[in-house]
Amino acid sequence: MKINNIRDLELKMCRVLEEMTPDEDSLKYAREVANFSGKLLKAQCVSMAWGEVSGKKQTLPFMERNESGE
Amino acid sequence: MRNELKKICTKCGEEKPLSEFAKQLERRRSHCRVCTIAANKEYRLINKGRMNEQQRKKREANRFEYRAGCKRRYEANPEKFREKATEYRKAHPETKERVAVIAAKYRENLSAPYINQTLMSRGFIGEQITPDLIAAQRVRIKIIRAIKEKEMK
Repeated sequence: MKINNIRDLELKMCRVLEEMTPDEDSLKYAREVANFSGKLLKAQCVSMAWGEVSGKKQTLPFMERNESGE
Repeated sequence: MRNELKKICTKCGEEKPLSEFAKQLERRRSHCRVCTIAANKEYRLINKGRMNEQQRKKREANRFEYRAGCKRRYEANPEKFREKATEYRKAHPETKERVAVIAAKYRENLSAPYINQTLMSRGFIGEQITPDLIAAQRVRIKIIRAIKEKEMK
């Protein structure tokens, strides 16, 4: 799933929230997503580096898990 | 001595100098200033609820301008505002508890004012806070809360 704007990010986070389970891996992943989303939001809102950050994002939490078909 | 022009107020019936009647375009109003002030006061008292609601809607529609105005007035005279706030808190000690209850409710329900507060504490300024941003931050906080909740179990 590509994240092009805040709305996409919100949808992605909603999915993470729905799929969250009490196991260690899931919690770790959710924590990474929450932390990284904070950075993305900040970057977009200071109107700098959205492209840069969202580019980096592709190798960061959102893409680390197998999400084929998205 | 100059003979000042006078006019009779159609409300109280008293004859008063022309300066006692507010200007309205090229002429003077029919009611004197005292009667106008009294009538306005009465109107505000009767329509208090409706006027407050109108004011609230206006503030919400222009919240950035409203907040900017508040900030400008505060920065022009911070001491005065601090003194007034201290006096108010002293006169109304129950305010602290009331505010705490409201804040807790906002925090619990993830209401927009609370989300705004969390965003502002992260360095956002008013114009940057859009409905999309608020929605995203709300989900983010939900994730953080869910993590904490699951870790507690």
